[in-house]
Amino acid sequence: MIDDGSIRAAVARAATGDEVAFARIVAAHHDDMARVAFVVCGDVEIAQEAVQAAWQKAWAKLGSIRDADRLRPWLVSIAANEAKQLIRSRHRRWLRETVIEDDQPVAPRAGSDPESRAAILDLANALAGLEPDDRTLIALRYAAGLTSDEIGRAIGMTGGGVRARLARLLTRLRKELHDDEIA
Amino acid sequence: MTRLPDDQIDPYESRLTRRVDAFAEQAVRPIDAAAIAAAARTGARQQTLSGRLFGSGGSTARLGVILAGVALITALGVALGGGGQIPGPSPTPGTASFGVTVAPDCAAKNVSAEIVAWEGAAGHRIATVRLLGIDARCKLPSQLRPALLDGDGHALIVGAPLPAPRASTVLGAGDRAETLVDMSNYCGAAPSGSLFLRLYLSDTEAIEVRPATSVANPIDPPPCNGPTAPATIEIQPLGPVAP
Repeated sequence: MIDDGSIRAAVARAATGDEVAFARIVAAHHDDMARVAFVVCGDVEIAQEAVQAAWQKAWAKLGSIRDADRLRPWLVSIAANEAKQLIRSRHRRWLRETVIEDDQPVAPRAGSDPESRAAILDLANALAGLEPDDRTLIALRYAAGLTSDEIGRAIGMTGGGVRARLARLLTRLRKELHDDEIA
Repeated sequence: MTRLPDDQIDPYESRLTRRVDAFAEQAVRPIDAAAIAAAARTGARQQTLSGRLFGSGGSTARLGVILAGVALITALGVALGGGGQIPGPSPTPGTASFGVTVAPDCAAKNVSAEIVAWEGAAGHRIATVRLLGIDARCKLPSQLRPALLDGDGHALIVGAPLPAPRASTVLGAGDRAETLVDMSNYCGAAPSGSLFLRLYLSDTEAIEVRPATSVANPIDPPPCNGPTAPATIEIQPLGPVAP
């Protein structure tokens, strides 16, 4: 994990075209960007492609980042946007998944027990029913951990607007995932 | 694990965060950050090349092949560079000392370097680099991370990350050490301005290495031998200055 001082130095150097400094930023943020892109598009390969495209944009525009604290929200929002554009350009839709294949563990950290895999598929299906813009909100909030204000700045909304929209999405997801049945 | 921000909207958020976290983890793959950075730079400067590499169907498979190649070369570089290096000859006046030594790590301000020869050989470019201690005695890892840059400071080729140092070189004021940097297969966009090398002393310290006035050959990039193979840059461990 790179500390704040190092990332500030890396941003300053990368903005002048230092590729090695840029690689340090890639190492620090690539995983978060992949996770966000995946929640938006639902496809690992498209997510990876979106993140690569996002890095191209980041390389070209890194000089516009005046405050290193805004780097992470900026990067994950580029990745989310690239993922949205890719699924639009390919007319791809999220597919509802119904089969759990025993020989394909869904997520190493999620555990391999059928219960947690089924929970992941339930979430995949719930996300499939959302609009890409709503999945972007979910991704930026729950995969990247951004505040409402950070999300608002990234997508051109007020923090209050983000909170209201997330509140509606939470109500919907809680119902679809049957989490409202849990005491 | 994603940390939920402080501005909680609903208590349900913590549960949803855990679910989204487990779901999103599927997208995390091992990466080669240097290769991704290089591809980002190339793609940003040359969209057409980016389209050929990453922009069409099956692109991820191609990216995987490229990254695997870069990773293999990196691993080979580390394996070849990390073991059996140096313990050089006993120090003589004006020469760096090699082996196990006690001295603080060198900062960029403690060391200068210049390219004293630039030669072409069978698709390669080989630079002889001479380092000079400026002031206080300080310690360098015996193998440094090299990069070839153009006049605008854009990295054309970047070497593998520094392996854990197995030996070090101590430079006092006026002490000299030498190394060779071997580069091949640069197939990127035409570089602008005068090329130079950058040697990373650590993750945060680097020195720029430009040609001495005595260098007659033009400082040009290594020729492209095949655009499907990655460019390489490798460096020898530091050694005494050749007589």
